[in-house]
Amino acid sequence: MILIINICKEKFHYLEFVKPIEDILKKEKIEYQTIYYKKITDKELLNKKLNKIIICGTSLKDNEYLENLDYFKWVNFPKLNKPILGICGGMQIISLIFGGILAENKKIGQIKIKFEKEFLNFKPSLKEVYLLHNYAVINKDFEVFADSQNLEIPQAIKHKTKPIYGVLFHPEVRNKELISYFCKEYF
Amino acid sequence: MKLGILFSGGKDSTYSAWLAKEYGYELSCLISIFSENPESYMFHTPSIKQVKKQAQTMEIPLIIQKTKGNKEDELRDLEKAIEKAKQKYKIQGIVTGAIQSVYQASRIQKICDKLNLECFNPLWQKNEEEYLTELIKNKFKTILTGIFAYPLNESWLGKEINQQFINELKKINQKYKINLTGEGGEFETFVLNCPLFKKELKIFNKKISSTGENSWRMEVEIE
Repeated sequence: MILIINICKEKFHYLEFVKPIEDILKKEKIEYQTIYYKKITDKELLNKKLNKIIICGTSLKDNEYLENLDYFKWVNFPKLNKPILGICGGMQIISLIFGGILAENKKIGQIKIKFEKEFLNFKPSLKEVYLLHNYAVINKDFEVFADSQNLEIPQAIKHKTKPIYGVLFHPEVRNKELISYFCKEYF
Repeated sequence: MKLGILFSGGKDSTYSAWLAKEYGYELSCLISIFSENPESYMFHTPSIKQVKKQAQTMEIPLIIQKTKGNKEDELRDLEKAIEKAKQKYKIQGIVTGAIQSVYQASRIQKICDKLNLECFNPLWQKNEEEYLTELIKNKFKTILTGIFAYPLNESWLGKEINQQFINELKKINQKYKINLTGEGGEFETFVLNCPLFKKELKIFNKKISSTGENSWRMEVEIE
């Protein structure tokens, strides 16, 4: 079972940032549970059926989650030890929980990014991705697998020792296979 | 939160408006762009002037912005209209009917960001068949007013989106990869009735014209 974390302050944004991810899992016939980030308890995190966690993104105007990082302390609990994928705001959260820093970097629209190494079955190549964010994150505990060409903005990262992944782009737009692979494969 | 709806009179913007209301938001105004360019990249054009009748039956104020319709003018005029909605109706966000178009969505996101407004795309990435089925289930009476892709032809003008329509389009989709929602510009629609309308709109006149190869438009007049 995949736990999908909704970080949207506005409930109407569920349809734009969470439901597209639920739809990918539905299509792949993968069981999931969606929960708002302020409502997560040990009950969800210690659920024996829990396999992996996805933290979704939110809108450009919504930065509330950055003021509420205490709700995400569980990301670094050793006893959790489940693969996590952070998307956009979700990537910012996991990076910040592990001591990363935010850098202003507003981007809206489709660009090509370069995957230097294989990342969640994306082979080294240029990929078109959809961006919608105010901030990039930098954290030396994470390895960078893809960055914006010539900009050195990490677009795809993985924790150096834990199965914790982050993408600054929105894979639910144009790169759905990345989410399917994260949910289906064992690693 | 007070919201402005980017409104073309077709199914996507009308259904998005209805969803916003269902989620408890206030529909403060509709914003329609009348493009003089029938090949507009951004805006729906067949029967666009009938949005006035739709706005009346929804009892929601309407802001109309005309544009010459070339790429840069369209975006500048859209921004002008949204800015007017912000000043006049104190809207805090915009609702669009974008489903797959990154071109359309990212341009509206940029305008909202510049004007410090929330941007809602409630149909974003929505499954095409699920969406059309929801339209029918939620009592949206929608007809086709523009046809722009082979093998669709003039006989599809005026067709209502119902289960039979979905079945026929799915068969065509298997062979020709037509987008079921028409978002690739394959067809345009007009909403005659939905839960936001006080009464159903009745067509009293229609004018069909061919606008090129595999391209027909139906301008309707509403009572």
